[in-house]
Amino acid sequence: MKVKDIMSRIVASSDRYLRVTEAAKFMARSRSRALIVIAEGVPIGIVTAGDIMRKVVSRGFTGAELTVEDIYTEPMITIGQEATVEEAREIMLKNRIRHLPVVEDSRVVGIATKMSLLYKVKQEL
Amino acid sequence: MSPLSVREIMDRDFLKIERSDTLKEAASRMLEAESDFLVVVLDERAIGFLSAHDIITKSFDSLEGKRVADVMSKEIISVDGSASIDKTVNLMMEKHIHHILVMEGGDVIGVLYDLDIIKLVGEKTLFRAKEAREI
Repeated sequence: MKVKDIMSRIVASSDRYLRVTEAAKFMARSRSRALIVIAEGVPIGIVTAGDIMRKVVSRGFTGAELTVEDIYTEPMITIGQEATVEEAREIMLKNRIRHLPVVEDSRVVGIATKMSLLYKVKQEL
Repeated sequence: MSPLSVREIMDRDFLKIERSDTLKEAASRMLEAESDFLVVVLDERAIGFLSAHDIITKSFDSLEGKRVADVMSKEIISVDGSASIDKTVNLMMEKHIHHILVMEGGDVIGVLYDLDIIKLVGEKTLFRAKEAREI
């Protein structure tokens, strides 16, 4: 099974100047924990619920004084859609990440998560 | 420090699974509910939890025929309902977890997810709470 078979094709993105409070509002409403950060049409990084927990809440910030640019993670760790699910699993575990953007020709075409991997596990049980 | 307690923002409708259930049932329940966290119970009492992470860290080939009890995390990481948000966030960061059991009197009364805290950031509720404390 390949990454393209399990990835989600709906990927939320954000401008890097978005206020962290707005990014948080979006994540809570959509139950989506990751936003791809786009600058001039190019994906430059990723901001996740984990970034907000670690770099905002646990440091005593409120989020209103910060933008996505202050907390996003770059460069993103990515994978191609023809890679295997096993490769995606190894990358996630090695790098301790939950979201793995799927990139083709410098465009993000999907995102694989631990829940995507769980889908593959369930298919085989 | 935010004056809010965990009890005020936790999710009371958390998902449960029996320790004797199959891993396939657990995976189905997680995928249907789009939740990567189940509280594992034995005779209605919480004895651990099972997350998507617990499952995918195991070699996929080794999971056939396995039950929840074989794969679950047996360490119960929890906070009391009266715990502060700040203390709870620090514990979650230290343990590298995205959800935590909320207990009172030995019983699980809810689960707090990272998104419950992210929601407060979005609503600026933490912000108002901090301002109130500073006045």
